[in-house]
Amino acid sequence: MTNELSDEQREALGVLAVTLIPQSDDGPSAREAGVTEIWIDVTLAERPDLAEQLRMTLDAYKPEEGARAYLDRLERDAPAEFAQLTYAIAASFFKSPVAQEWLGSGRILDEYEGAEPEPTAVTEELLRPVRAMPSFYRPTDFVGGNGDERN
Amino acid sequence: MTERNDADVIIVGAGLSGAIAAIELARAGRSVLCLEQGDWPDYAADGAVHDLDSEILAERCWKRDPNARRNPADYPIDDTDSDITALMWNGVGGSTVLYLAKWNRMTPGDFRVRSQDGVADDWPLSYEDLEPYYVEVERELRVGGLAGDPAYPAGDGPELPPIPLREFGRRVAGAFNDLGMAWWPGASSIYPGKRAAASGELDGAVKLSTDVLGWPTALELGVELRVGARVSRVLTEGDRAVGCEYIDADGERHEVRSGSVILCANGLGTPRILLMSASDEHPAGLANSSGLVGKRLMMHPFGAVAGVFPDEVDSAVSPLGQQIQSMHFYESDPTRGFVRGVKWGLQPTGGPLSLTRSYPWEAANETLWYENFHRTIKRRYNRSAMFSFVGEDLPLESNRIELDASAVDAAGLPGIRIHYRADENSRALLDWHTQQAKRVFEAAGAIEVVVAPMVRQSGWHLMGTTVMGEDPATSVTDRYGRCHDVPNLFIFDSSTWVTSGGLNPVATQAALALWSARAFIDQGERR
Repeated sequence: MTNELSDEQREALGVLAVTLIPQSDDGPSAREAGVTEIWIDVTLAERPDLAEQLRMTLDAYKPEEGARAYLDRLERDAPAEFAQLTYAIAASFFKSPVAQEWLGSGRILDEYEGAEPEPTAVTEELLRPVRAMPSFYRPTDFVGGNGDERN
Repeated sequence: MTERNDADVIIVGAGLSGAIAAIELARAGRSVLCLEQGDWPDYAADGAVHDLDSEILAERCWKRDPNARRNPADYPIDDTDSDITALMWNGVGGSTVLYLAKWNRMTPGDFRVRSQDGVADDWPLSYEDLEPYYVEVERELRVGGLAGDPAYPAGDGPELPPIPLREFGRRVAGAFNDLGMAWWPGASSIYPGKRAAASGELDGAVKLSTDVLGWPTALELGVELRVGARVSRVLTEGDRAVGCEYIDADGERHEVRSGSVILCANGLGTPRILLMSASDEHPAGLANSSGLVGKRLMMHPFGAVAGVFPDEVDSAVSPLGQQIQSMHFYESDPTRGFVRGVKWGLQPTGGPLSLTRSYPWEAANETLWYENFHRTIKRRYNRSAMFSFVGEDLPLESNRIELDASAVDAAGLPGIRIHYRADENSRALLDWHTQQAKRVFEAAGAIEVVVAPMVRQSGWHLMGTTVMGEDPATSVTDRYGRCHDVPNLFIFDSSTWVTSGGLNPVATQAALALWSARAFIDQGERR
């Protein structure tokens, strides 16, 4: 099954995407980020499993209803479809270099990346009051041996 | 087709417990055959599970919910009568393939819930029994952490250090200090190595999953691992297990024989096999004279609280392991109106797409989209952190699984139906702890705190469905996992847990599998 969107589906996506992520003084719109023209295809190439439901959601949009009204209805009556649509649009938006430059985002850091190995001096200083605490677990009356002890 | 097999032992399931048991038994000179319903993870074709380059790639082939994933190895799970969806990976490595590598030992009191709190039951073993096994598996499995947490008895900890504390971790640690609360660097089952990503290999974190660290060793030791081998029943003669029947990927039925059988198929898969093994001699299912097979299911109700800081706190980081943990409120306090506790684990919020996800963010008061989008994303990205809460649930017989013949797997075997309700104690416990966490985030300087309710998609921890104990009338196995009714049939997975603890179970399950395997070797498999 193809992952491609028809012209009508792409047009519907453009309207819905720019409604969800509009032009703003705070950042680029979905249109400025190229969601419909470029990045939705990258998203669907990585996640072909999203394509079928996305096409159905886009086909169900009728311009006469209005984009915001359709999205409100979708969120209320079909939250799973709304979640999948917004997921695909947001994923495509954040793949765009325009969005990445705006947000200062890139690849997620690895757990060890750009950080000193533990325990650092800062961590040791933070731990000082904790090390001064007495143990607070509730002991049992285990006395050692064959493991048959009970409270 | 009946095959004579020279193996001393058949292990069912190639996850964490199966790997640990296979290695131990092979080292002790036993011949071992492992039957695994799934296949090896295919990272070359399916990509890294925790990819740093793309937030969406990981969810293409590595979905957590088997009902959504629908791999050939998965079996149907009807969870319509459950507050929590069961999550797992069926294949070599088991759910360690997908988990987030948070490593926590249980506390001494976790093994004495009846004695200390008057509810549930005591385990027939103690923290002190397991303590040397914790130490051993932490070293063998390359766990990172730091000894000395005052929530535990003094003793040895992991040899490797914990993962680096980021700015958000330092701020929250400082808030704990200001509030006079205990915290500790989190232990994690990851270690430095070569990490695979879509853009290539880099120096980074390698996660303990037993397909990577475990099964290669088992195979070198001579263990035979058959993948695509879905066990349909344990074969018995009288009160003895004599082997297993399995169905291969082509639908062909096989019988393999052995001296003993060890089930390591998780808290749903193991009772499923026992119930599918019903016969004229065992009409209620195998090893089920107590009537407890499939009952007392515990799934750890899960909650989360996110805090948003006014500036960057270095939180656009991969979520493996845990930054810090707090057991400050872990032990029961009768003034709170509930029993038992929760470990708090602090983790980063990751990449920008994760900030648009419904959980935990839909608990925020305003919509993310439309005119709010840019402001909200900018406010959260690299500026937010999240506490997760693994709530201890009590073992209720009404929380259970049963076979569901109306939905079958690829081999035509019945699926299961889960009945699980989070009781008032679980809900009160999560509510109280999440409100306390809000206070900590505020003390750390958070400008927004989002308290999310119990989440449905959280059933990673599947415990209690073949409980261990001393009395065959009230338990399925003994303290070493030996079935009371069938003395050469063993259960080494988390099905045998008596209570669930309020923390991630992988550490205790690894130690318990080693404890059980050593007992098997020491005591002899036949009795």
